Amino acid sequence: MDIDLYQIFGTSTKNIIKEMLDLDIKGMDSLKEEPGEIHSMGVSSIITFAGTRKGRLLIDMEPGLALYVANTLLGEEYDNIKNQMVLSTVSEINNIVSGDAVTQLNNSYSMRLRLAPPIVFTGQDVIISIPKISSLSSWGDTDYGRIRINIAWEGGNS
Amino acid sequence: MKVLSVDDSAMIRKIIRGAVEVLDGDLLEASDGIEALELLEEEYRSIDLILLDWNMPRLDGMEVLKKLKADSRFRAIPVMMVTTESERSNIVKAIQHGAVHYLVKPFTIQELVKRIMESLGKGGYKND
Amino acid sequence: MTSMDIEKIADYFTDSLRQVLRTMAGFEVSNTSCDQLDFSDKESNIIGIMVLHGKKDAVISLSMEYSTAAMVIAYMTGILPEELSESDLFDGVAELVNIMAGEVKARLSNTPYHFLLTSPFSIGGTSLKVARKKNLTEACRHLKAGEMDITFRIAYI
Repeated sequence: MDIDLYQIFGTSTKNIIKEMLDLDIKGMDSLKEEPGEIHSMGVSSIITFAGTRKGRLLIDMEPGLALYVANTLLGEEYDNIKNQMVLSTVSEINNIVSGDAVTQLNNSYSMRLRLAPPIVFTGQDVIISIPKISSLSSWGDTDYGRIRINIAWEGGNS
Repeated sequence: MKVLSVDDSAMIRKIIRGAVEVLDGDLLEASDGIEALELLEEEYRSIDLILLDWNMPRLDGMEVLKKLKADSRFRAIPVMMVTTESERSNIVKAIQHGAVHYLVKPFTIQELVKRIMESLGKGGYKND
Repeated sequence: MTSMDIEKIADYFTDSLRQVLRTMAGFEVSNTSCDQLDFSDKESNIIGIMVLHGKKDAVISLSMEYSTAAMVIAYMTGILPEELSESDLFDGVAELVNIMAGEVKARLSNTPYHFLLTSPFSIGGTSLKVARKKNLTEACRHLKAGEMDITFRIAYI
């Protein structure tokens, strides 16, 4: 079960991005432990979920990919990742990916997980520090930039 | 005297270091429960007191407390919880599982020093 | 969730933060309401955030300049601000959020607003912009001491 708790988010990310944007993510097959501080690649979104356990998903995109996601889904031509609509779209992608993964976990393991709304942020040299929880990351590449997902469950990675 | 601080917050460990230094003691630090248990394997004979946070990654404070009290090598080391968990039921639970003191954050440095001294009194010094 | 409820809960959090700062850092902060501009997304340097899971979920945050974070953590630890690393500041701000939320969790434990804590996290950077969903029930407070200005926000979804 435990490895499923992580891998399912990679699978959901790939499937949702493919389904909604017709975009392939190459890689995202392995998981690696992250140190306490994560350097954002451009736009990052965090969503937490709680049920029989508590966890969170961080989705981090390079600026090119974040703009592609927003422009494709909204049919507009945004060129600034600080635009509210760009941030909202990345946030919504996180919501949909997490919703998909959490539904599967709830169905498979009766975890009764419920999502809280996502938070999204961007800036220069942004560092995300999550001191109370250890996490695993997985990286993927697209034609428009890199994407990373970082998953953490309270109570550990084992 | 030697104190082990188990807290995932480096800031809290720094504050505890200040208090232990006031008492001319040495501080060992662990940032989660697993690290604490690994450190104890090596150092348990010299440790006089464990200050234990509750919410930590990998292994939380309550699980650590249960493991300490279930292991004959560690059982005698007094444990003081230092945590934000201030609900009465949690305090009772920790005391029932063998904690000698329960200090809720926020605390003053004076309060911390006083509680460390009281906890040491209950457990007894191994070193002068 | 009425606007009166959220204002009261915001006061619980700010009372708790004031107590944390008084007890652990030894200084008093004044508590003032935010103006309308404070509710929009603002650029900030370091933000500590925690999601609260309850009947209704909420997000709480503390925003401040790096220099304010350094001053607060320095007072709390007794270490000079210039000797604190960026990591120390991230950790310290997250822990401030954690301690503040822990106290309010106990205070609201037998009310409809009871919540579970989650792991706090900090975000730092320049030109930082944080966005949340629109149309949330929100409250905001400034906590000030001299040059220091800490902004507390809570949003229920």
